[in-house]
Amino acid sequence: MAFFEVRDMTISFGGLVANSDVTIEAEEGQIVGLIGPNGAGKSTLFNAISGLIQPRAGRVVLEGEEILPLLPYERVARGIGRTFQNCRLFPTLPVYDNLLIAYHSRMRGGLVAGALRLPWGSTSERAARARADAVMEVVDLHPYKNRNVSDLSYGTLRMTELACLLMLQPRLILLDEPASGIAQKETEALGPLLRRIRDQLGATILLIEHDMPLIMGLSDVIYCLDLGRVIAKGTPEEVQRTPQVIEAYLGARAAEQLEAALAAEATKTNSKHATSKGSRRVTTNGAKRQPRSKSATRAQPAGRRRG
Amino acid sequence: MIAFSPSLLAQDAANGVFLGAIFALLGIGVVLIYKSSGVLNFAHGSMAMFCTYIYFQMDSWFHLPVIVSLLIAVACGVVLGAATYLGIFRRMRNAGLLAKVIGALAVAGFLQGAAAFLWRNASQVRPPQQFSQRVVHLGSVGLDWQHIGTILITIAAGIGVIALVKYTTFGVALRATAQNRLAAKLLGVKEDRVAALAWGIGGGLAALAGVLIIPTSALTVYSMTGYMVRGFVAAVVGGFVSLPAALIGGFGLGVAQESLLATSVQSLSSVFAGLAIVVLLLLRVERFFALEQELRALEELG
Amino acid sequence: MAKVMKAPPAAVMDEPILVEPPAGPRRWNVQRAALPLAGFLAAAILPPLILDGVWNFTLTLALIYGLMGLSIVVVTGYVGQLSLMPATFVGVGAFASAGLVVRAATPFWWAAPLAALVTVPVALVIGMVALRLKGLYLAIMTLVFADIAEQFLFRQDWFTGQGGSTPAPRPHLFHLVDFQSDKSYYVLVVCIASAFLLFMWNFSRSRSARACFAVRDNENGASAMGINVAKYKLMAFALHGFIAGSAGALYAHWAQNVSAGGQRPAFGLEVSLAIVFLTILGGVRSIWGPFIGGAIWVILTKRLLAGSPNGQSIAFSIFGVLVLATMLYRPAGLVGVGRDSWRALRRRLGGASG
Repeated sequence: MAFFEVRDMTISFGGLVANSDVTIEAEEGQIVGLIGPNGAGKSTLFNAISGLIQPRAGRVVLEGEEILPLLPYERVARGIGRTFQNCRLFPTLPVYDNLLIAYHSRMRGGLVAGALRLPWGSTSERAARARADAVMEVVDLHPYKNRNVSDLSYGTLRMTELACLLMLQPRLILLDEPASGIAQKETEALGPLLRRIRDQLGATILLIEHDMPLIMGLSDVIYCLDLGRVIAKGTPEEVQRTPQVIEAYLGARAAEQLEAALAAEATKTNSKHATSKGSRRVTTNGAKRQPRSKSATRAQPAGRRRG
Repeated sequence: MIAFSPSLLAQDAANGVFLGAIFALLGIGVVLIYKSSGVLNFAHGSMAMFCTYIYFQMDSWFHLPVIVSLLIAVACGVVLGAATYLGIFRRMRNAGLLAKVIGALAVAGFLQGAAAFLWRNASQVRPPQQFSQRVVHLGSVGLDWQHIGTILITIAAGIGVIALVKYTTFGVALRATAQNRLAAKLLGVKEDRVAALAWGIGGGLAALAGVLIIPTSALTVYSMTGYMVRGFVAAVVGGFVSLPAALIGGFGLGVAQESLLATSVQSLSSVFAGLAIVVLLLLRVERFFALEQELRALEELG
Repeated sequence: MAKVMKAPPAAVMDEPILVEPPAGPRRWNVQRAALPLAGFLAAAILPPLILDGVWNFTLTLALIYGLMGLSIVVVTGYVGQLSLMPATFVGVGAFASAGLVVRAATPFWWAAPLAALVTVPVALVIGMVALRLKGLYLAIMTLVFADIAEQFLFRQDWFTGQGGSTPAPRPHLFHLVDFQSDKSYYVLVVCIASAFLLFMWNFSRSRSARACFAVRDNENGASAMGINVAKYKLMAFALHGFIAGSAGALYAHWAQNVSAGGQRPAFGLEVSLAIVFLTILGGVRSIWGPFIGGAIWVILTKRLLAGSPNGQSIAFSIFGVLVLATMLYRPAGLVGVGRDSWRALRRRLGGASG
C-alpha cells in the first residue's frame, strides 16, 4: 500500500467522462508529476482529491485512510493541501491576513474567546503570527506583508498562495500549474523551492505542469493522462520515450518517428542502453540529451507557458 | 380536503387572469432589465407608481384624453428606465451584488419619497380607467372591459417583447451580452445601448402596468409594492432570464392566487405569492428554463 | 524574485504545530480599544447632562438605530450575506421583551437578554436558508420573509399582545435606580451600546472574524482553507438576530410601548430598508458606521423634518440619493471618507514637517 493512492477513479459530468479508471500511486516524499494535453482530466482529478467534486467511482487513500467520505475542510485537516489555477485568495485582505486565514483550522478561539480576548485565543494568535512570519521569510514575501491581495502582481499572487499552503505543513501537496503565468527567472527558482519544501517538510507532492523542463527535472515519477486515462507511467526518461505520450502531444506522425528511432536505438546499441532507469542524469534542458535522431530528441512537447 | 365552490372558483379564476396579466407585464419588464444588466430592479414598482402619478396629473390638471395621458405616462416610464440605467447602473456594471441591490432599493426609496412629496396633497385619488366598466359575461363569468383590455394588452406586449428579443438585432445583442459579456463586447456589441434600451422598455412596461391596474383601486405611494413582488415571482419562474416563462408564470400566479379565494383556505391567498417564491427559489426552478450558461454568467454579474 | 532562494531556518519547518507561548504571566491584553471606547463613553454620557430633553431623545434613538445597524455590519459587512429584514428581528426582540416584562412579570434585566436570545433561533432559520441560496436570491428571500412577517406575525395577538400592542415599562434597578427619566435611560443605552461595541471591536480582530471575511471574499477559497463556511454563515445570522433583538428590547422600553402599527408598520420593510441604508451610508464594514448613519437618520427625521407630515418620505428620498452616491463613489461609507481624509491629512502634515 503506497503512502497515497488514487485507485480506479472515474469522474463524469452527466454524459461527459472526465476521468476513467485512473490509478496513481505515490510513496512518501516523492514528487509525482502529472502531464497531459488540455482536457486530459488532470485538474478534475485534483478537484476530486481535494473534495470539490464527487467521483463516480474510485477510491482515494492517504496513509491507509479513505479520503473520499470526508468534506473538503476535513481533508485539509488531514493534511491535503492544494493550489488552484485561479487564485483563491481573499482580495480585500492583506497578504498577512491571508496567511493567518490559511492557519485557521489549527488555531483555537471562537467567537467568545475572540470577543473577550481569552488567553488561549491570544496565545494561538501569537503562534500563528510567528509561523506566518517564518513562512513569509521562506517564500520571500515580507515586502508585501500588508499589501492587499487585490494589488499584487500575478507572480506574487502565486507565491502568496504557496505560502498559504505552507502554513498548514501539509503531508500531501497538490500543485496545479505553479509555473503558469510567471516569468522564466521565477520558474527557475521554483524548482529548488519545491525540492526544498519536499526535503524539509517531508511532504509528498503531486504536480500538474506544462513546463516540461521543470516537471521533468523535478519529478520522481511521471503519469501522463490523455482523454481521462493514464497512458503512461514511469520515470521522466521512460515517459518521454513512450510513443503514446508523444502522440498525445504531437500527433501520430511524431509518435511513429519516435517508434522508429527507438527501434533503431534498440538494434544499434546493447540492451543496457535501451532500458531507461533513473541512472541517466536529467538536465533541465531536455533537448541536449541523446542527439541521435532529431525528431526523437525534440521529445519535449509544446507545453503552454501561460495558464 | 380543501373545499371550494365551483361558481366562485370560475369567477375568481377569471379575476386571476386579469391580475395575472399585470404580474406578467411586470415580470417581463424585470426579466428584460435583469438580462441586460444583471440588476434586479427593486425599483420597478416605484417606477410604475411614479408614472401612474404622472398619468393622474395629466388627467386632473390638463384634462387630456385618457389615451394621451396613458401614452405620456408610458413615455415617462421609458425615459425613467433609461435614465436610471444611464445615470446609475451603467457605472455599476462591474460592481458587486451589494451595490446593485442597494442601488435599486435606493432608487425605489427615492422615487417613493419624491412621489409622496410631490403629490402630498393628493391622497386617495383615483385616476380614470382606460376602458369602460361595462361587464361582459362569458358563460358564468363576468369581466369588465378594463379586465379584458388589460389581458389583451399584456398578451400583445408579451408577444411583442418576445419577438423583439428573438428576431431583432437588439434581441440578439441582449442575449449575447447575457451569456458572455466579454465576448459580446469584443464582438462590437455596445452593451450600454442595449441595456439602456432594455431598461427603457422595462420602465415603459412598468408604467403601463401601473396605469392599467391602479385605477381599479386607489393610488397611493405604496400601491405597486405588492404587485412588484408578484412580478418578481413571475420572473423567478424563468430564473429571471426567460421571457416566456415570466409571461406564463405571471398568469399562472394570478389564477392560482385568486382561485384560493374560492376555497376554504382563503387566507392563504395573500401570502401565496410569498410562499410561491420561497418554494421556487428553494427548488431552483430556474434550472429548467434558462440556459445554464446564461445563469452562470448572470450570477457572476451580480 | 531575482535572488536565489534562501535556505529557510530549519527550526521553522520542524517546529510543532502549536508553538509554546513565550514565558511570562498570562494576563488580559491591555485593550487598545480602551482609549477610543472611553472617549466614546465620555462623549456620549456628557451631552444629556448638559443639553435639553429633545437632544436626549435624539441621541438615545440614534444609538438604538446604530445598534440595529450594527447587526447589519456583522451579517452583511463581515460575512457578505445580504439581509434586508433587520426590522423583523428588531420587532421580535421588542415584542418578546415587552411581553416577558408585562405578561410574565420578568424583570427587564432578564427579559431583555432573553428577548435577544429568542430572536436567535428565528434568525438561524433565515441562516439555514442562506446556506442554500446565494446572493441575490437570498436578498429576495429576506424581503419576502420581512413582508410575510409584517403581514402575519406582527398581526397575531398572541405575539403582539391584545389589540396589537404591548406596553413596555421602563426598568428599575433593585428599586434603587429608576430609569423613568429619559436621561437615565439614555445612560443605560450608552452603556449597553458600548458593551456591544467593545464586543465587536475585539471580535473584528479575532480569528473568527478573519474567517468571516474569508467567507465574504471567496467562499470556495475559504472552504478550501479548511473554514467551515456553514458555521460562520449561521454564526453571522445568529449575531444579526441577537444584536437586532437587543436593539428591539432597548427600543421597546424606551418608547414604553410596542405596537406593530397600522398605516406605517413599525417593523416592516420601510424600517428594514432605513436600517440598511443608514448602515451603508455610515460604512457597512465598520462598527462605527451604523452609529454615524443612525445619528444622521434621526437628526433628519426627528429634528429637521419633524414638522412636515411627509418627513419620513422626504428623509427616505434624501437617503436614497445619499446611499446611491455612497455605492457609486465611496462604497466604504462615511467612515471610509473619514479614514481617507485622516490619512491624507497626516501625509500632508508629515510632508510639511519632513
